[in-house]
Amino acid sequence: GLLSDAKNGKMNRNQYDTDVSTWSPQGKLHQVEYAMESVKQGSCSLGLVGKDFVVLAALKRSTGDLASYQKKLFKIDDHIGIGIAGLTADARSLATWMRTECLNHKFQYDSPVTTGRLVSDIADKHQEKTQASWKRPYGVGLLVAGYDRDGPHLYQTCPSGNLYEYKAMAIGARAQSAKTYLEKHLDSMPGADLETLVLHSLKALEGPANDKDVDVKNACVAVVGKNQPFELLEGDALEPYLRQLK
Amino acid sequence: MKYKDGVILAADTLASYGSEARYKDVCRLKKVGEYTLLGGGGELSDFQYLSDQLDEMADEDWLNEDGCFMGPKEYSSYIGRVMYNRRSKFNPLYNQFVVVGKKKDEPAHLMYVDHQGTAFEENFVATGFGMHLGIPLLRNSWRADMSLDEAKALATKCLEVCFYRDCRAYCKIHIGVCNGTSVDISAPIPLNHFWGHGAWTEKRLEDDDPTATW
Repeated sequence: GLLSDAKNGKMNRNQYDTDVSTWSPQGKLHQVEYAMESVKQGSCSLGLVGKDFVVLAALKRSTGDLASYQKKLFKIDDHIGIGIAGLTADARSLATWMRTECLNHKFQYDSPVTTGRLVSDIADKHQEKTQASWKRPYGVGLLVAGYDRDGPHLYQTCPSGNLYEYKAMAIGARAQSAKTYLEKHLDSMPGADLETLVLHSLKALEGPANDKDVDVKNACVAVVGKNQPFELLEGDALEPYLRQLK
Repeated sequence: MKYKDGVILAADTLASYGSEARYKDVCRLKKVGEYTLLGGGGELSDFQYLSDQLDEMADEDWLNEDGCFMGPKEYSSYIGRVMYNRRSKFNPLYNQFVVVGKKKDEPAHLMYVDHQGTAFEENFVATGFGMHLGIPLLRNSWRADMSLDEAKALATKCLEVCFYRDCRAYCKIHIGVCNGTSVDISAPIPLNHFWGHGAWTEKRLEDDDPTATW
């Protein structure tokens, strides 16, 4: 990728990558691509969709033994939550905005906001920052898990402003190994119960964890779905699931 | 009022200019979005203004193209917020509204909202004189499992009483029905009214004044 190219000295810093409002002759916005690189550097977050539930899982990083583990999963509303990869500060800013939108909508319309519409607005926010020279793109990718009237949904947002809906997805460092696992088990997900989905999400984290263990300290899971408001599973709550995987 | 399969709304077809019965063929019921009916009493221009705003909201809803449409709960909550905020700015919409509707697979919804921002959900509501003349009748006869015909008959009876006793009411009505699959507003329905009462027609005084009633 870009980072390894930069390290190898193969990447060409060029006269078209200084600001986001400059196109390169190849039709690229380099600043947007660099922002997406920031997402790839974050630790892995993944999500998967069953018939009535969405499960998010992530590997939390810590700077050292004395430090805490970085929060990766955030509740947005009773029926929506996100997993992040990239600049945490940007993620918190977006999460605050999403929470405010959800609250305002509930107050005005006495009804939870449709996840797809909220995510669409986030994508527009991302796009705004790619079309002004005095702004910078958000350096964070979100996996948005929501349960609406018409069922569970998983969306990915990108610094480019693009928006995708997925049955399962992983973002961040070594996400490909998680994606491979999720693809392999994709067909079994609609029929799986919640516990099985959670187990899949933790098993999928093993690839991105590389040689390290997936344990109660560095893993986190969240679930949302039918009769299941968004709930974070961290620390000891993960113990019974992790034990099953051993 | 709510009935077994949904909710109905009825209103007469009069738009008064003070005490003058100025426009006698006005439909005061409006379909909003896919599932909702708005019935408006009070200042008709404010009702029309709000109707236009709600139409714009419904169009935006449709433009999202995600199969997700606002229902009576969303519209009635929104209207309640608008009315309350307008009254708080001392610039009210001078109306009493009834917002009804039913989305498929959801329970029927019936909400009263007025110019002060008062908003509440109920099984049956009425505005204006209907509150005084109609509600007692509804309290006696309303049941949750009423059929459509029973509900229509009860609504008609209430409006008949209103026409007899409210000198600013009228004898032609519309009935709107929301049953979860469609929202339909009827053609104008003339009310029956009888003026041949003995008390009205028999002579009571010595001279030929037929209008004396005591």
